[in-house]
Amino acid sequence: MDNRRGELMDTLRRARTALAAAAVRGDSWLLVWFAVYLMLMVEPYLIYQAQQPPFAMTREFAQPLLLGAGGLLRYLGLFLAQCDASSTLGALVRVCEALFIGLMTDRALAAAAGRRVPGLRFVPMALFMLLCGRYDQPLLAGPLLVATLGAVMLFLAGGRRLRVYLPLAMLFQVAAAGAAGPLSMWLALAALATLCACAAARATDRPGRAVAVFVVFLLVPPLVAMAASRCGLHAFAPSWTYAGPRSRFTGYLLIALLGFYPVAALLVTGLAEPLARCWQGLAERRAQRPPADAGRRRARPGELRLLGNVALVGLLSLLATRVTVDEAGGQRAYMDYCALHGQWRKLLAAASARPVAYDLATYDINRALFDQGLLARSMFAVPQRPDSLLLTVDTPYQLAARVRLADQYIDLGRLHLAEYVLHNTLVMGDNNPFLLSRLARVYLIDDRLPAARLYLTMLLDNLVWRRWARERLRQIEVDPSLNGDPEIQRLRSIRLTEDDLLFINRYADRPEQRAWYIDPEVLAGPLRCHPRHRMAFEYLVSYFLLAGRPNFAAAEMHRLRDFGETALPRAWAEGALVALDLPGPRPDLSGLAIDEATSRRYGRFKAVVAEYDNDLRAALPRLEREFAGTYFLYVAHARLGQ
Amino acid sequence: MTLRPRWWRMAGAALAVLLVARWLWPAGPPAAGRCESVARAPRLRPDYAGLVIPPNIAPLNLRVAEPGTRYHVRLSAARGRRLDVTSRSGVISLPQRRWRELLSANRGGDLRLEVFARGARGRWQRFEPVVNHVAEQPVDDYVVYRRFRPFYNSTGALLICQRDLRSFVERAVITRDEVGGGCMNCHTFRDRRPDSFLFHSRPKAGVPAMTLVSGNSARTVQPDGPPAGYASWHPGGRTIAYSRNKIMQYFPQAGPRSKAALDAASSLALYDVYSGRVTVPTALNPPGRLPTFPCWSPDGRWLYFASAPRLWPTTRFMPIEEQARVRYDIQRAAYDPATSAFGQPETVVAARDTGGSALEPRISPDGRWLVFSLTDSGSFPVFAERSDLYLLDLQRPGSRPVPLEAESPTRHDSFHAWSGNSRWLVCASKRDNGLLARLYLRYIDAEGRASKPFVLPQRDPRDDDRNPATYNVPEFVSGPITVSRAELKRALAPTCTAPARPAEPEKRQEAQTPDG
Repeated sequence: MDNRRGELMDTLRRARTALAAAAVRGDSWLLVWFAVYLMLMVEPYLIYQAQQPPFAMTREFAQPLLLGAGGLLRYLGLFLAQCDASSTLGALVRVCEALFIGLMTDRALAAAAGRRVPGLRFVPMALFMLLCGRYDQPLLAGPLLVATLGAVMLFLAGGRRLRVYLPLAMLFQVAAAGAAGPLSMWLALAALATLCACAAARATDRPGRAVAVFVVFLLVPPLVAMAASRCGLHAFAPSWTYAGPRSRFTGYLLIALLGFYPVAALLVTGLAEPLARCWQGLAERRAQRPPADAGRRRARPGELRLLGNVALVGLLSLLATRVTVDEAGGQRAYMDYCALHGQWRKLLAAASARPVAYDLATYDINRALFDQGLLARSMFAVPQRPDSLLLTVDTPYQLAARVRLADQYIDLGRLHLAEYVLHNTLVMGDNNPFLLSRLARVYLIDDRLPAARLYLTMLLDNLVWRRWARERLRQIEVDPSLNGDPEIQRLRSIRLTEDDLLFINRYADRPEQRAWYIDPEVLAGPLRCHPRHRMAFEYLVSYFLLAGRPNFAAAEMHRLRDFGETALPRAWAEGALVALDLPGPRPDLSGLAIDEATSRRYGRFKAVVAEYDNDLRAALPRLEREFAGTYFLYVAHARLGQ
Repeated sequence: MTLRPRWWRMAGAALAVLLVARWLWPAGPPAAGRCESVARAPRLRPDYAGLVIPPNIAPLNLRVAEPGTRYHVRLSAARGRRLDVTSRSGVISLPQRRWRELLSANRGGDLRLEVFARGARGRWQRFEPVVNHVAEQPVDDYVVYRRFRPFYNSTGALLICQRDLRSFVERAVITRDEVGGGCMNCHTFRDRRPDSFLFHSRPKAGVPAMTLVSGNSARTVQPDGPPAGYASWHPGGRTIAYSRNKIMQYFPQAGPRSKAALDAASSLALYDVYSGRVTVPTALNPPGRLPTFPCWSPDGRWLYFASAPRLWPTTRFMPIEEQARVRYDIQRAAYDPATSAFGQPETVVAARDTGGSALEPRISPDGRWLVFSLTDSGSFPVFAERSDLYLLDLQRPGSRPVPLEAESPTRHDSFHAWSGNSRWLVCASKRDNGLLARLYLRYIDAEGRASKPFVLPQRDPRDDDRNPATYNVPEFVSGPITVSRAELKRALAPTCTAPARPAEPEKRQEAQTPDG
């Protein structure tokens, strides 16, 4: 008993010593660099934004996870992923994971090789750090690797009493096995099996035992996991939380990280003897060599290490910043964050600093332009498409788009449509906090407080959103009419008051028609109820312009007078000029002035086209040069079907 | 004398254990004289005050919604051991065994619930006691219902579940995945027997079907004609009366309702379980009427149903404007099981008397009471702005329907069902939040007086406050369902994979099931 306790204390002491040693010997400032890099360059809150890992402090969430193979690790991984909502916490978690990976790699490889292989631990650490620069990174990669190495540590701690520790290590690994995707799982298992087998082969002279260990560690965890799923405990399926497309580069990094261990274990085991001989030979030769440079000052090992570390960090920095950091992914996540949090000014700044192409970019930019009062003036400064202004109900079930769609309907005053979209998405969105918060908002605006309270109470279980939800709940208690909330009052004032039965009436007799949702009626309805509904108005006119119906747009422009305007903004003025040139009745602009420069520009545009005998295709290169950012060019492209 | 370090360590550990124990098992309130009295009942979530409860119900776990740092609840009755529970969060979980003992010892008696709360300044408050009455008659042990998210299309989790009312155990009978990802609804039991029931399924890629369960086995049938809707199994076991509805869902864009449904056309049909033959009795389907919601009387000699005049031509696809004027009567038609013949329908509850639309007639097993839901108009109480339950004494000629609760405010009640002893009524009610339905239980005494309804207790009383699921079609059953999920899945397999019939536009619309 005492003996066993003594061994345990020894193990603890060794771990403590290793930690202390790591802290003093140079790893610490590598980790500090890593933390700074994460916080300033990667910004973990963008990882949270890109992946939105689900998590709730409820039995309903935990139970199905914990009952399945790999569930514990998955639960832990999802919990840790919540820390990403704060960049500091997210960085801290990853730094801790990197530290553990470094320490345990050192010990595991030392056990496999029979001697410490200095510096080798930096390889997985570096790979892990590079992986952390990817916004599509698998969130469970860190916990999975730590769990795998933890199982190796347990195996090693077993020593002679392997029988005691082996099941524990197995259990530990079964917990990890189900949590990974198939490839990651097999790589992690291969790493575990190889490391343990190498260590076993070194500890005993019986190769059969090493083979047995290898087979057991490689095969038993998935078999147990599969058996568990057969028993209905949990599906044995890949479970990376990130549902979006993962880049190949991230996949390679993950394979390199997990594949490092079996390769390294075999290498260091196989090369242990030659290496040792080589080291020994070097040492002997050095001892026999006359002290030729005795007069010179020799570099101390500490300084050499410092130099090496500086070089490593420099290399890492270069790699991280130039090669592995997913700048486009980061920008996309940042713009997504701005769009979902209503930070339109920042979004515009980010978009102008570095153009980024993603599905919703133009939609977001249009929304930001509207918020900043620039839509009517500068909407053609960005490349537009007919469908980039309004999202529709048949927008694919992609979470980011659905949340924007709900926001769009809330802003238009179509609360019932927003509710429809949110509920339909919620059944697939796994209680996503963005959806829950929007649902609560819809019911707050619609003055259905009990329903709002339900979704706010659900948000209390979310670690990231609970503060927001608690504040809202308190607000309802104190001020049930929400008179003190100007934003809610504003949105209440633009609620649709007239039931236009948009869904049914227009296409009741043509159910095969599925185009009702892009009908301008989505915008015209709110405008009928609230003639001064600025968003509905600006979007309606812009919608007609983008749809290639400038005459319809021009027919609506007279409403600008309701908003106290006397002149047409630039983009709309261009549309009005095109409309005035169209055959048929001339639109009534109610005396709204068209800027002289715009008129001249249009005249020049027509002259250029005329120079090419009205052949738009031939004139297009010149038009693109001279009329970039104008509605004229947009129309030219549209007419050419581009 | 000096103590050895070992003894110091042991003393420290003992002290730590004591502190932890003190923290885990906080002391109860001081004696009554040292408490500050509050002259009102405590606020409880759910509202479990002034109820009549079944003697076999699961513990009424609750949350004390009063400010405080510590709570103590004392449950006492004339007979049996007092039950004390202390909590820091206000969540009171009553021990099941002792709760059961207390209830069985006090059938027909009162349960007294005393609530103490310790305020921020450390002073205990004692609220007015809450008294609940334990009924003599138990409720059926199980209730079967549908549970799902309030969605608008055929996605997301949808289950038919059974709940043991004596405990918190809930088991899935069948899930959406097992019916081919489509919809399933209207589980109907034959006289509350767990071994004899049916339900409908509409797989996404298959064909609509009706699954009949008998004992441990199940078979799937496809009655001729349009798919089946609401059903009622004749007590004799041979005949199933069911409605065939052309249901359309639509979404008002303004106003209090965000979704609605209408019945553009409906008829009643009979399915012979033995021969598989479908008949459409002309007596039940006079031209120009919309019969629906069939319900057999317990003796099997009457078929009750709701019926309204059709106010639009049959060619009309979506008669939304007329819905505000559609009001259903409750009618009944005499039935002769020997000849399967129906008499002429007679009106039991007339729309012109109620001023609303009377739907979902359900007769108590003793044949005395008729309970129906009353809405302003239309045939969908679950989506209606107002929907309340009314009770009619069938054995007292000339009696008028009376509401089970005060008429205003509306309770959003629908889908009610009787227990086997005609004393308990379960229904789905959206009274909590107007959006999601929960199951409520209420006692009906021999004179037809209804007690205050209460929501089914949950293991964690906070569950209902954050549960995104809605519940409907609760049906009492006398025991656990005998058929296995595997057997149901096997029976449904052919319908899930069969190629779908070429759908007409109307049928595509029908696939959007209004679920509530």
